[in-house]
Amino acid sequence: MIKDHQTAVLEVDRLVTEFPTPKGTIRAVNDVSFQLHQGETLALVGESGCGKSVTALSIMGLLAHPGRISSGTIRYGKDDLLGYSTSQMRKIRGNKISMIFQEPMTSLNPVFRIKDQMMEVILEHQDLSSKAAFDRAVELLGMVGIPSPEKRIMDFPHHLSGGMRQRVMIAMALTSPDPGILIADEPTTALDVTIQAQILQLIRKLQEKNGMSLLLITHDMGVVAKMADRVAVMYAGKKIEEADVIECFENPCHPYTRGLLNSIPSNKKYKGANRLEAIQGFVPNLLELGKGCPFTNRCTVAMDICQAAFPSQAQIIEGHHVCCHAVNPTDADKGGRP
Amino acid sequence: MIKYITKRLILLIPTLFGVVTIVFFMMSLAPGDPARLALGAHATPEAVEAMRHELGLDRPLHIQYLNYLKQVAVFDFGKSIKTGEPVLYELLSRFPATIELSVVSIIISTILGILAGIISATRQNSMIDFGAMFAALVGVSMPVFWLALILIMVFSVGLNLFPTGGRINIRLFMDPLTQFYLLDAIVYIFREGDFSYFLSALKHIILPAVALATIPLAVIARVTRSSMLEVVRQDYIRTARAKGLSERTVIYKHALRNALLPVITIIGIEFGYNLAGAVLTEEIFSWPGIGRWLYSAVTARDIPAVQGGVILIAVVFVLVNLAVDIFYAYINPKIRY
Amino acid sequence: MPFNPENTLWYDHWLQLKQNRSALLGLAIIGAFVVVAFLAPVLATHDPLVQNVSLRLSKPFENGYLLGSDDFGRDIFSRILYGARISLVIGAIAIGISLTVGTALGLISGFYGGTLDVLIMGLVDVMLAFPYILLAIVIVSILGPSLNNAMIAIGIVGIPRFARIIRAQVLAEKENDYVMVERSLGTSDLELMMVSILPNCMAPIIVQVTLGYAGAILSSAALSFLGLGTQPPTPEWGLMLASAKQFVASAWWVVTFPGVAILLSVLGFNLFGDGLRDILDPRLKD
Repeated sequence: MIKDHQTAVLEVDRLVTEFPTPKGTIRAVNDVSFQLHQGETLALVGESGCGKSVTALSIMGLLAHPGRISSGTIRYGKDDLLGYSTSQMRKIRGNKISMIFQEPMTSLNPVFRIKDQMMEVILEHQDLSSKAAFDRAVELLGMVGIPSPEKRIMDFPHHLSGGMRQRVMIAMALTSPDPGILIADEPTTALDVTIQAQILQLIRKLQEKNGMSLLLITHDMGVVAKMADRVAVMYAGKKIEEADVIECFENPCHPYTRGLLNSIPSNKKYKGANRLEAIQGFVPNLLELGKGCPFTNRCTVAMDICQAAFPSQAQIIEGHHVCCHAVNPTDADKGGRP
Repeated sequence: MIKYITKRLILLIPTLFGVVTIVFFMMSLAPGDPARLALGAHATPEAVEAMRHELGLDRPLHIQYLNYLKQVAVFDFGKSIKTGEPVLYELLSRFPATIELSVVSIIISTILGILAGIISATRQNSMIDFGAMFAALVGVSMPVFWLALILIMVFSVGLNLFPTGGRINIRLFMDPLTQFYLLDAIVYIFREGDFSYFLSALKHIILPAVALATIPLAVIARVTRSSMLEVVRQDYIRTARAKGLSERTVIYKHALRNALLPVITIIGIEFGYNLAGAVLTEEIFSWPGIGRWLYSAVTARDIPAVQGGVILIAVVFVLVNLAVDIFYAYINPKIRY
Repeated sequence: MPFNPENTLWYDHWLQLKQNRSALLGLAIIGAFVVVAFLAPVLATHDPLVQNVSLRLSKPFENGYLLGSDDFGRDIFSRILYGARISLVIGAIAIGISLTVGTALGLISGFYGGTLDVLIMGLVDVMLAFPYILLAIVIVSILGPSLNNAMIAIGIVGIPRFARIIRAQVLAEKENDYVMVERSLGTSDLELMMVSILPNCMAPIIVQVTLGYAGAILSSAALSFLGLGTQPPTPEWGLMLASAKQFVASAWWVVTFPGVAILLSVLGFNLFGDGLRDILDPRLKD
């Protein structure tokens, strides 16, 4: 499944993103590393508040005040994006790395026509005439499956349904002739189930067509199963497991990953799931994290050492890494179930 | 849109009816006999009685009311006792001065207010923000008549930069074209190459316009700030940033366009207040507008003038507010009828 | 359970208020204003009405006049202190009128609805069709210029705002279950309104009273300035400015200090009212 192993288009290394608050500093992203390869789909999975969206915003350089990246690197091609100036970063955003968001209903500016919002990003990054930009916008809208795009382009966002708006968002993200990376933050969560499938299919189709890489952020393991080549699971700001998608579903090693898979209805891929199970307990307060593994309080196989130290990363097979004291590295060759 | 405007205009009728009714009965309570006032203290009782009959004052109140309604329906607001001119004419002839002053002051307050609001919002909780918002609250708390006196004291008397009152140097006589002196003076620039008219009109309008701009400026700044803070939290602002647009485009195009919607309503309301008689400012700067005219009618107990004047001013005020609502509906693409 | 003030909602609000520096500044100004009003006879260095024509238009600190003297040789400092009394009273009475009449109208309108509601709200709409100060001027011109009539006029002009706020609150409260329960228990309308509904409207009323006080002080000064309010020789701030225009070239202190007093006291109420609104009723924010 992993396409073109050699070229990582995006490499996040030991990223730490913090939010200072009056009650203390929150580490929303804590020492997270991963690579996104040419043409592949990496799913960043976890519950809300686990830091997956903050990771995406860190990559885009769009952290809301007072968030800041306190250490780590985000390598795009050869360059570290964190060293980029504001204007360099602007040339990347919406051009080389684009992002679509969870809420299509509120992600488009209500006072501008689709035309203006589309053309704006085209004219920002490409040296085209207005006429050419308009034609390109119509073409893109057609490409994302909007019927009679030459008419719809004159609409205001509130004329369109949620699904249509998300299609517009996707079209707006793909204006570049060579879109490198698309970051999709829960792109279908706010949509009806039937529309969800259409949008996911559309994203896949476009990805196959122009070979872009996709960083898909979701909490929905069903979406992961449909879309992803590789999966990285995050919990309380930490990446706790990463694997090829089939490996992840067949041989999940972290108790949290298994919990996530158990919570999907009718998950046929994962043999252990006879019935639907919810993970007990709550995500810990990010202000009250100790030195140990943040999952300890909800973990069914927690040990004393889990309170004391965060586990180092163990390799199960090539490309499958996990951070859990319960996974005995020596068992790894045998399939590594704790 | 037409339907919406029609509906709003129809809803206006009961309000205007109420305005006329209230003003009529309030003024009928006013002490003093208009007939006696019209004729002066030395008139004979017979003459006063004849006058009362002519004015319809000897009839029962409800008949007077119905007669007044009939008159008002055809825009007849009676005659001023002091001048004998029709009230409508008196008021309309002073309206351009008020409009000119209101427009200049609302331009000043809109530009500065929006700018201050944006600066405050983009630097939320900074010293600049705190200072600007404190200044805005001082502006809201300002007794405008006192500010006018201070402006005259400092800039007219102290620094001798501006005249203390009036619309233009009385030695400069202009043909009345539009009655908006600034516009008329621009015509003089082109026609005669003479800048002195324009400079004089400009110098005369600055102090009253600044005084009148204070409260709207403060209100606009406060509303712009809170509206901007609300808007920059919205998802579409994040989208605009994700598109790689410059911060300037994000703030001044994407955020401002949305944030201005409530601000426009406020600008309209404040403009309505100015237009409807900036009594104090006009009085202090001897600005010959409707506020000053109404005030002199009040002090002279010129009842028909006050009655008609108040009704007309209330109508202007209501119409301006209606126009603001319609304009708001027009520019807000989310509102469709 | 024993009553513990720390458990009440108002204690919570007080804690929030203590965090709000500008509201505290406002409270301090209001406090100073009230103290000055009450202690004016003690603090004043002169009788505010005594004229001394030979010492007219003395500069500040000259001839024992702290803030100078006016064109009749009266002490401006003492007149300002006594002016605080007038402003305090005008504000209290005007707001009292607006509050009682406005609350009554709003309660009736919201509680009974129907024709009464249409009539009352129609009247309120018509009153709001007049610009604030214009309506006050017209009312005073009918009643005749005096301190009392100015208070009445300002009070009347303030009615619509209270009526609207109360009505909106009542409409919201009426839907609550406790009103249904009390009604089914046979509580009389009046009791229901006064004992159950009104106390729940306190937050917006308090905010409006504070901000309205600022407006009342400003309006009464404006009316007096126009000669339509307080009459000479009463030491009223707006009235002190009425004759000041002729001194803009010669005696800046006559022009400056009464205005500063108006500005400061109005600012105090606005600062405090703004802070209260943020705490008590965030919905009212513009």
